[in-house]
Amino acid sequence: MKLSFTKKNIEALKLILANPPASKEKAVKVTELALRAMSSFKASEVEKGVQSLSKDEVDTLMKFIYKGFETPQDNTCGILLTWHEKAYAVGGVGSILRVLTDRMSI
Amino acid sequence: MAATLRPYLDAVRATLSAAMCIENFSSQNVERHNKPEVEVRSSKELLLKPVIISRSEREKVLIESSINSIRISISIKQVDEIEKILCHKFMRFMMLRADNFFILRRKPVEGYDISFLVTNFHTEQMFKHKLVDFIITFMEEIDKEISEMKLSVNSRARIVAEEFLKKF
Repeated sequence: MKLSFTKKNIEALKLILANPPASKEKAVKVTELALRAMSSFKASEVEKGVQSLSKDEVDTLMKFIYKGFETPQDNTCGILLTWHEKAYAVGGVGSILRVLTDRMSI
Repeated sequence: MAATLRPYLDAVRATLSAAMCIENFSSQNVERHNKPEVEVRSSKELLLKPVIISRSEREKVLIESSINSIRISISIKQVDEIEKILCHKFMRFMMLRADNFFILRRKPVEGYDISFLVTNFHTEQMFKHKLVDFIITFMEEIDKEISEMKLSVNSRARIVAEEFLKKF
């Protein structure tokens, strides 16, 4: 959480993505954190952020993106769409399919 | 807001292409029956996770997929009363003629304005990428048509009011 307040957005995001939430109560908090981390990126930094992630992390990122779409707020939708575009460029159709089929949803 | 249109449509297109992985699957409960599993919702293992893509609080697309069918529900942006009425009438007009559309659903899903139901039979007869293209074009055109209709309603109302008030 402290990492979000410094400019180290990328490390904060990597930390959150490395441990997808296991229990339901934690899931809400972690999603909130993930969305805050993603919103703190500027539109131009998103691409660099996605490039620094591993394959599994891109899949988890996609899950968080779709989770974020479920509760749309005016300021988050635009950046979420940018994240979706860049993550799709890296992950491809497969990353979306893995979100649709995965039993372990966040 | 216009800047989010392209990424929104691209995101919907990508998700639709991913979700349209449907094949023939007969009903597991009733023999010799073939039902769209996304409508019946009888077994969990046949359904994929439903996914929403939203451009704003009012504009979103819900995509529910299953082994032999996919249901796409669209919520159209309506800012004022007149757009609500126009949208409602327009969608109703199309849904009454759903048979000719093939993939249109007669009733929209709760909370959305219009729904499409694509089954494996449709994908066997039509190209998947063309179906996706159709839905994306539909989403683009609807907004344009509704604003066109709103403009024409307003200009007609203005002319009528002018003519009427000339008498006084």
